[in-house]
Amino acid sequence: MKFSRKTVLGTVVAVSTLLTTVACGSGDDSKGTSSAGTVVVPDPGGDLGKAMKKAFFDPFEKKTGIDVVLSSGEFDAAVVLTGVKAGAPAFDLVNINGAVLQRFRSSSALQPIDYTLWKDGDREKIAPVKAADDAVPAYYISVVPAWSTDKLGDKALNSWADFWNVGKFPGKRTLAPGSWGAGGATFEIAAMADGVAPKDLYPIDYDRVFASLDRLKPNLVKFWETGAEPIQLLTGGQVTVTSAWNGRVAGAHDKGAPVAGTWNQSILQYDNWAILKGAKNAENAQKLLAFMMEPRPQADFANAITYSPANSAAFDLLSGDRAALLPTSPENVASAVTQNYDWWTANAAGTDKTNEEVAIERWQAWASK
Amino acid sequence: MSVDSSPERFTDGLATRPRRRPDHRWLTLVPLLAVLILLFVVPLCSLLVDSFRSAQGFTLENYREQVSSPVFWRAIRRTLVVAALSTGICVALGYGMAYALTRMPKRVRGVLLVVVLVPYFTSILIRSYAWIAILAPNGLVAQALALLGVETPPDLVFNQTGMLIGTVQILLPLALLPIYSVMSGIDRAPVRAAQSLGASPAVAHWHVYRPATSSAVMAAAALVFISTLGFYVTPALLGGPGDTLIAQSILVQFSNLVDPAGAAAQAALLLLIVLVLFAILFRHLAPSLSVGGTEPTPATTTARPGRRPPRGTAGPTERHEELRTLRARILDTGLDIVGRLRLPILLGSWILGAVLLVTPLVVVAIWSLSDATYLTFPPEEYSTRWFADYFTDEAWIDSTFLSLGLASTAAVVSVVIGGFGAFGLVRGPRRPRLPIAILVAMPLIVPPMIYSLGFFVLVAPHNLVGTRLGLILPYVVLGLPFSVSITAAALRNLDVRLENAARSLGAGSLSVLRHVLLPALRPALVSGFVFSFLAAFDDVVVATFMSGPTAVTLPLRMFQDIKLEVSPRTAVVAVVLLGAGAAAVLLRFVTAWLVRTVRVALSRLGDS
Repeated sequence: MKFSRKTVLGTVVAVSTLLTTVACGSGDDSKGTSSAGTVVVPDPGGDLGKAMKKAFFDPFEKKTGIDVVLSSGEFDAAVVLTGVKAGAPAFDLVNINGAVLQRFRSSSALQPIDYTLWKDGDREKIAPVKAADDAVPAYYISVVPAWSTDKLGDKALNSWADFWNVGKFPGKRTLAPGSWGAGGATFEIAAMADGVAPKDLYPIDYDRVFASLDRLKPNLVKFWETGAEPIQLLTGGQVTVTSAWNGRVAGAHDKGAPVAGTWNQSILQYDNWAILKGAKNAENAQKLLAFMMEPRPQADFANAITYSPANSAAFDLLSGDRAALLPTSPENVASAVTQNYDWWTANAAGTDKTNEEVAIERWQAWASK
Repeated sequence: MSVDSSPERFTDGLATRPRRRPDHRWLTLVPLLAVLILLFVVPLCSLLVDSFRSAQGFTLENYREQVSSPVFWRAIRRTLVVAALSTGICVALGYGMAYALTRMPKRVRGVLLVVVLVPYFTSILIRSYAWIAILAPNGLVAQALALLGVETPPDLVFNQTGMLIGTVQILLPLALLPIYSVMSGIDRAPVRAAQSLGASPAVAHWHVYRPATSSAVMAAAALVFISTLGFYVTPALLGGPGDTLIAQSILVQFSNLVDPAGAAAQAALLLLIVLVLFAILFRHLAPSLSVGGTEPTPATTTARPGRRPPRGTAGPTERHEELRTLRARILDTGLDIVGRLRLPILLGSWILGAVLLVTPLVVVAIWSLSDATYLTFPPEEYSTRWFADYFTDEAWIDSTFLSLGLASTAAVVSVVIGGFGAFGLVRGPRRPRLPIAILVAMPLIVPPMIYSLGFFVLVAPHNLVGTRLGLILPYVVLGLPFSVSITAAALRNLDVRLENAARSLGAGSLSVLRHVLLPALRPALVSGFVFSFLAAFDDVVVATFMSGPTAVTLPLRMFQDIKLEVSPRTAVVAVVLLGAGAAAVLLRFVTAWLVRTVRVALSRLGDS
């Protein structure tokens, strides 16, 4: 008797839950389908996401009525590629790291960009890296040495060799994992710390890189796994010196975190915009891309986060002070190294693997010791 | 159909029916098997086929590459060590805590069970960050030790110790609850009888009580061990520079090398190794541990399975005899010590367990009130701005309800299918038992990354990505190992003669289910539901593939949020969920009280 009542109660709860789910479902489906349609873009989150929303997506929505759906779904190259192969890409327009772009190309996962939608002259202004038929450089970012000013006070690092110099700059270290290949620039960093000149970086001398990392290892607490982690480890006091993306350092600094970075030996990287093959809203993605690459939104973007615009015409709209904070400003880029994606995506001598794949495998062997 | 067990044959003789009806109990296995085969085996096989395929046709190259790679074996070795260590700690601690629970008043039990379950409502990521704040060289532990005069605190994080602490914290409830759900059903009378016959409490426990729990202990150990194999977030955040576990290695193979075939090969090899390991372990442990699948509990009160020599030994030689006496002496001394220290041990296990479970949550709760943009502990200034941030963000609220709906639906389905399946597994034919048990455990053993990938590839062309159904289906599969194994463990301890007695008195299958099985299995079904719910509610990996842009679950949102920008927002989500959970528990008590009052009032009304 007693039990049956509880069973009834349980059933009621279960059924009502189901109903709520279904009800919520129908509610969700009805909204978000405005007449102009949508375009789905991965949400890069953090300060980068906010900058894109402010400079690109919100003005675009206002201008065209097309909804930009920022998907918090995982943006993992392998997952995205699987979706494209299965004929159901999760996104329409994606931003892809320079080295990873090659994988999308070799799996023919991209569709050509419709430059007829672009304003006259915008394509020619994409510099220093040129716009390709299937991808456009999106913005330039730098991997820089960063440190906690709480711990180091007025002492400032000037090079990756300083990063390795625990005597002069005492404290724990962290770097991006080399299992990202070119992503965290750890191979370049370790080589430069060992005294390799920027012009001699490629091909990467693995023996020298790992010997260099072996020297740092006693002071290396871990490898960071996400762009936000190095700043968290710095502000949490678990490390004193780290590699980090310049926008992360500047963003933390602006919010009052005791962190600083240097442009010396910064490693310049860039992301690309590309439209996935089979994208459901390809037409809207083409429109959004054409809009984003106009000088005005490009300048707004660089005003919102310290990453360089890909359209060089945007610099005409930026103040001199702001331009000085960007990775490609003349002073900053003078001491920077541009990551060589051509080398990273080329096949390693005598193998059918790319240099990046070989680097990751060598890294795994070293890191698992 | 094979006849099940001796007690049944015995009651069969008593039954008035001249001929026994054919045993249809195996039919309850059908939904379980259908779900597992369609939603699990098929996607996995389609992926496995890929791992043998190359441009030229069939190939073993992917396997050869992994087997010959020292990296792979190092990751396997490290993973097995970590899994074994965390299993040992979790089961020992869980056993003590579960036993202590059964000896406590009912009201206290409820509160303590909440303590055990509470951590689940917090994202694994932010719990790991909390551990860093606690264990790091400048963290809480170091500060506490400094107060005590210890100047150089031990290295507790960014190494294997940190990894173990994080893992044990996450898996302890998984060990505790199955053991508790069986222990709470054990009759203590035989233990008291043994004590009244002169056995010391520890000896009585060891020989009378423990055998009845061994199936639950095995289930708990298997659950914890297998779950550890799939861990990658915790080791990545709390481990040191070289502490790569196999799940991370598979992930690198898949994500960074974009080599799904290689990743599938690694997963298949891992599966093979685990199965071989379990086969060996079971062969060695079975004689000393098994209570015999269907042997009813009371029977064990006379048997002393712990003392039976291992099967396959050719007669008791003199050396064997010596060894046995030695072992017995060690056991007796050990039991004597444990018996004397039983109170401190039980109390200690709870203190240690509660500290492990709750401390990171305290840190998380304090973080939720932080004014900072980063997670600094202790926060310099406090504010409620992150709460405002959460409650005004529609996306977060939507995700919260989406996840609650998905997880509860999947858990209900999984408990129903799993409950029937467990019945078929335990009471059905004996022969297919082992293969089915292995099949049921598979969703736990197979790294979620691999399973999700297989499922995703299979369903992506059918517009299931980004839909509720597309998420519920895999969540049902992920919940089944919990609902089946926990229910089966409880069912094994339930005397089959109860059901037979009911049947012989004329009860139909439905009545047996309603009046015998459901009441007896309720704790197990509830903990099965809880774990299935949590498996779905805590999941990030399946959601990574299946959420699409339209159905972003709460854990995925939290994961991406904290991955992209470490802020107190995730802490706020945890606190909100905890609050909601507490409110639900409170509501349950209030309704129970109301129902009771109304019933009393009604009966009085009837009397007068």
